[in-house]
Amino acid sequence: MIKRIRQIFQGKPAAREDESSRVRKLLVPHAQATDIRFCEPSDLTSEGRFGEEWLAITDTQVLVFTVDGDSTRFVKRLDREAVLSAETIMLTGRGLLEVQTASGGRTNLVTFTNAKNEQFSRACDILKRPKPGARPGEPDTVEKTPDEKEPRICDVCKELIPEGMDTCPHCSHKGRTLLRIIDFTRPCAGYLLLIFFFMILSTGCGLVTPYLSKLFIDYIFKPDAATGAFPYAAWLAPAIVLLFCAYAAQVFLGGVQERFSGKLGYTTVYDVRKAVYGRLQELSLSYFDKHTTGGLLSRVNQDTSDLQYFIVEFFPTTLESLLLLVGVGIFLCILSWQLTAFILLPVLVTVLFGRRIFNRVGVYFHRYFHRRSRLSDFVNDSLSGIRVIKAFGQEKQEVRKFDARSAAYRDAGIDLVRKWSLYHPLLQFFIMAGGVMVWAVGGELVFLKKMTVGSVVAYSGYLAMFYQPVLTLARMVQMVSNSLSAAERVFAVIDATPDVRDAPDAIAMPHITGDVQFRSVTFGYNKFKPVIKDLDLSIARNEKIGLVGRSGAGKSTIINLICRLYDADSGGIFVDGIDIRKINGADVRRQIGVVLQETFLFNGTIYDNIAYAKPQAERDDVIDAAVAANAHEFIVSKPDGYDTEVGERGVRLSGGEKQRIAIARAILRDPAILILDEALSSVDTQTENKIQEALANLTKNRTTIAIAHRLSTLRTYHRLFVIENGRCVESGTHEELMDKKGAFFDLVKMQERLSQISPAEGKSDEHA
Amino acid sequence: MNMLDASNISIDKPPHGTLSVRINNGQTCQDVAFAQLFPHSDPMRYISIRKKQGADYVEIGIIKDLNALAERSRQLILDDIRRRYFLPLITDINSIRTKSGTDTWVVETDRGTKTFTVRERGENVASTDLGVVMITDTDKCRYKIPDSKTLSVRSQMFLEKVLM
Repeated sequence: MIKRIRQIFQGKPAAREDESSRVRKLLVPHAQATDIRFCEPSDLTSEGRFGEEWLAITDTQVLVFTVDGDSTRFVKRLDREAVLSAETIMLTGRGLLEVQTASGGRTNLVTFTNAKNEQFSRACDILKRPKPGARPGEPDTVEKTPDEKEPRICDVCKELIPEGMDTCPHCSHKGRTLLRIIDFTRPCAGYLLLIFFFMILSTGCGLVTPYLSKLFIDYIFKPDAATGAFPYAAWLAPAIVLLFCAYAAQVFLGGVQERFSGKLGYTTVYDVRKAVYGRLQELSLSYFDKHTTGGLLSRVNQDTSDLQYFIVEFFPTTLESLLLLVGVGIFLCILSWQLTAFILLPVLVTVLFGRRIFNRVGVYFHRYFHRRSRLSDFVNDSLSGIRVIKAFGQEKQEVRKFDARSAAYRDAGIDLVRKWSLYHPLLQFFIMAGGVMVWAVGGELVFLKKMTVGSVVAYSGYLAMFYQPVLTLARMVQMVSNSLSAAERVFAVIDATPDVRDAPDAIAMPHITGDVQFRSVTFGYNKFKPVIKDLDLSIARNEKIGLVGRSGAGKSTIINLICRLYDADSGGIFVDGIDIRKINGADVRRQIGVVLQETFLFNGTIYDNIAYAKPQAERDDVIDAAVAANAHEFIVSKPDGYDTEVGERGVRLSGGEKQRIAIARAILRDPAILILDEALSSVDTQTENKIQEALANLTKNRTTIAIAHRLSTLRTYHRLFVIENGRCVESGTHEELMDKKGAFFDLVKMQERLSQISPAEGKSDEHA
Repeated sequence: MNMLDASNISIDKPPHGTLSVRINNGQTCQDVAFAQLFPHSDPMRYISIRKKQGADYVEIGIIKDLNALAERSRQLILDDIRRRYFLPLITDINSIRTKSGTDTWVVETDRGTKTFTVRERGENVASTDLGVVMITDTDKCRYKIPDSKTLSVRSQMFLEKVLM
């Protein structure tokens, strides 16, 4: 227990900021506080175990130490002067910060997990910078780049909020979430009132019926002690009518209420889903890098339907249970408070027991569903691969694998039923025992003339009604909590803000001329790993530019930046001399046309896919674009012409056909800046010629930026930039670069060697 | 593929230097690193020897079985792999608390006690038929349960709740 408490506290170091400044103070005997440029703990020890080792960089020293209470123990001490260079080395799952020292050796300063990458890349940058001294005594905050994201700390629990999350996962605000859900129901606030109204009516009618049975027994069926006649016999007919009406009203009013809650739930969730999807489309690409498609899919589908279930099912049920609980409780006390005091004990035991077994059995249910979904995943997987299975003759093995999973599913089912068949009767037994107790205690009270027989009958009727809301509520606590979590995840998407946003004073630029400049741009998908480093490029209007380099050099990233799918970390991209961040984002994108290597066609007709670039286009324009893209001929030869369905992701078309549709799409858009990202991917030579012709049509009179793997396709381009490791190392025309015998020359030679190995490749090169 | 004869390989490491390898009593190769080809299914066999070349490593050859090496060489390789390949093995689960779709795990690993958070467990907790479970936390750090069936009953109960 103590161990657990300690772990919980270790997981929540109160106020990390304070910890850092406290450690800084501890260092004072060894360094001046103002000299400390960096002071952060790593999360691994030098032996590779979890633990803390601090790294401090001052103007004169580099210190690695452990902190134990108020004392520090130095592990390593280096003179800052002796550090020649520093490097962070990313290994699998963790990183090292290594320095080269004047004595010639390499020293590993600290090791850390991925969680600390960013901090220690900063330390590495500090170590790499020119030695201080010129500016002593400056506050160390200058070491942080201005746009660096501060780690956010939760206001409530002081714990670090994981990156990519907007709210602290440890301190959820269920109340606030509930209020937001109610806020979404506001357009149907009238329904909320109606639901409440009908629920009270229906519950009230339900409550009347056991009391009527008391009236029957105690008055109508009670013979006069002297005469033996039934003095209240005439009341039988109206009482029967009343009973009938109460039952009918309970059932039918319940139906009406259900109808309204359905309407409320579905309408509300429709609005929520719309908000989520709308926000997803607005968010920048970096959001989709951080969140997996599967996760987002479940946000839109699973979580919103959980929310729907909550509003349509849980919310009314909980409300109804509450009403019943209060109503029945009142009746129980009216009938006999003494009996109620007695009966509380078994009720309490039943409720506690019920809660416990729902938790217990919950695990078995979970396991059961998990095994079932694994089995169905397997069947799905192997049936879609049935051709491969048959071709390799692996039927028997597949059956064996199926059998193993099927057996696991069977065992989970047996386990579940065994537990359920033990707990469920026990629960029933407790409930029955309570009922029996009513007759035992109630009977005594009847003999004592404190209760009538009718009251006891009514009482046991009410008691039966009492258990249901109590057990429901006990279970609902968990279920409502789960639903609210789903709601929170949904709201987290709605609340996310796009990283790439238009500046409030963004300029409208309906006509871009196509002049693009990169001014010392640095950018990385992870800030600690820059892909583009201090890049300067200048592209004039109507110029045809080729970007070449090995894969991973940063060519596609340059294009992502021009399209403003991401914003540069430092430096800026200027279009027509204006910072791209200051231009209306929609204006920029409208004037950029993109043809990608992976052509993505949406499910629809060929016409729809070309017109996607410009939905208001006339049919004539679309046909013109298709002709210019050399696509018209093959489209006409299809039986359905432009109305041909391309299938999901365009599966019914060949690679070359898809490519030409994408080019037609770009031509139709008539962009000022055209981007071709490996537009000539693996298509056969004849098709490639057709596409080349199409591209020649397309690149006339616009700034063109092309990435090409086959370097010979770039011969006609005005200038080529050779990108290496995020920097531009060479530029010039194809011929100039070949004469220079530099990096480009090497690339060309390497490709020639490769094409000798695969003759097909060489052939298509000649045609190009 | 250059499969090397284990009996002719010796690994060495000077006190302040990097690992070096000597094959068939030939030239010594400095600045080498090692990588398992099957880190999960066959960790002690098929080890790639890689030589540093610029920023990348290039394979020199493959050792088929580490156990055929001399004790010191084998230990140096295992140390290097352990240094390079950081994957804590979970030996016990103390608790898994769930809140707002985020699971907070408190576990014992071969590298000490650790608390970490997992989101979207459908994607980040992956189990195989053999009982191996791989977990990826919100910082993109990975953890492995080598065989969930050998965990304590309590740990297995915690695990069952979060397996999707």
